Amino acid sequence: MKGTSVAEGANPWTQQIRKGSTRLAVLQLVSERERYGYEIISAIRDRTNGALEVAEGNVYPALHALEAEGYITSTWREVESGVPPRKYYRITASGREHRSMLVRAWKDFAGAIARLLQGE
Amino acid sequence: MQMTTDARAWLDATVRRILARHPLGDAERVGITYELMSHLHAAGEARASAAGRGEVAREDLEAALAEAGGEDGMAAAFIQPLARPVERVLFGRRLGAFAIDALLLGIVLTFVHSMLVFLLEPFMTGAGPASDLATVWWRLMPWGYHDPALPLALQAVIGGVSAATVLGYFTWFEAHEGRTPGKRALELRVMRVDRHPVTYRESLVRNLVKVVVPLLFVDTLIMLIAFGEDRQRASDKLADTVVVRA
Repeated sequence: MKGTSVAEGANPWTQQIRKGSTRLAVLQLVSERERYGYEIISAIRDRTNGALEVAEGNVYPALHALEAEGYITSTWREVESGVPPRKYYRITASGREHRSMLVRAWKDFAGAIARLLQGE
Repeated sequence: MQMTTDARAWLDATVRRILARHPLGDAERVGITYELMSHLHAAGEARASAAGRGEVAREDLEAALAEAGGEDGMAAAFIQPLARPVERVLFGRRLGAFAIDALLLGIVLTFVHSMLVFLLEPFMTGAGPASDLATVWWRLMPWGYHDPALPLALQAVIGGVSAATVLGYFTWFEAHEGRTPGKRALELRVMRVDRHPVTYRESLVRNLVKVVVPLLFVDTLIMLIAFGEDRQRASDKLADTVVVRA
């Protein structure tokens, strides 16, 4: 599946789009229910069919930044004794507002590009 | 999902190795340790269940690490956004840390000396005024107390044990913990210039001069005059080590 994805191109242009969209993707996933870091990475991969091939190197810094800005909060949970605990993230009220703002901006941008491509 | 014993040992060692390269405060260190372990375990678990296994094996964790860009990739994702830049330390704090270590060693050595005298004096004869040589030796190595009235052989034993204790203390703590109790109190850490933890051998090289205190003064003076910019004693230069705030 990865072989047919947009990610394979990996030119600077798709890289830029991917970087900007990681933040929105992370916010979207934690707004649905609380999730832990690896779960977010694999959910993005699965749900976008690999088109948004995210790396640990962008998701975790994005999570830390979003938490520092107060858009998400985290709690450590013991899942099973003898294995490392997991850090679950959930969205805050200001995070929901931020997400709506990002979604609007994303749709405006995507709509504008679509109209441009149609030669409207 | 539980891990095999081998996987658990590998995870502990790998996370410790990744962290050792970065100077972090204790609170950050604990938090990042959990995050690294948690991520590798979760990613390994996904691989183990995809393969239909009920336990996370070492190969699963190794594959998870490779997928995350190896040790450097993990450091970039988890540590660098939080870690402070390395700040090499020149003099004041290091002197303070040395004073604390010297005090602790003084207490330990006083006890050790008393025990040696108590245990060995009945078997060692030749009491009387010590030779000048012994007094000179003690001036060079003023660890613990010096009693010139003791038999010369006993003084030699005390001197040897003192040197071994001093060298063992600094070498063991720095190679094992990255810092001595004095350095811990003043938030200092010893590391290699390339940010790896120091080995026993490197720690031994940078601490040899501490046995003969006047040599340590000379070594420090060399640092202040010649290597102030690099903040390294001549022994640090030899061992390729630095002392940083952490």
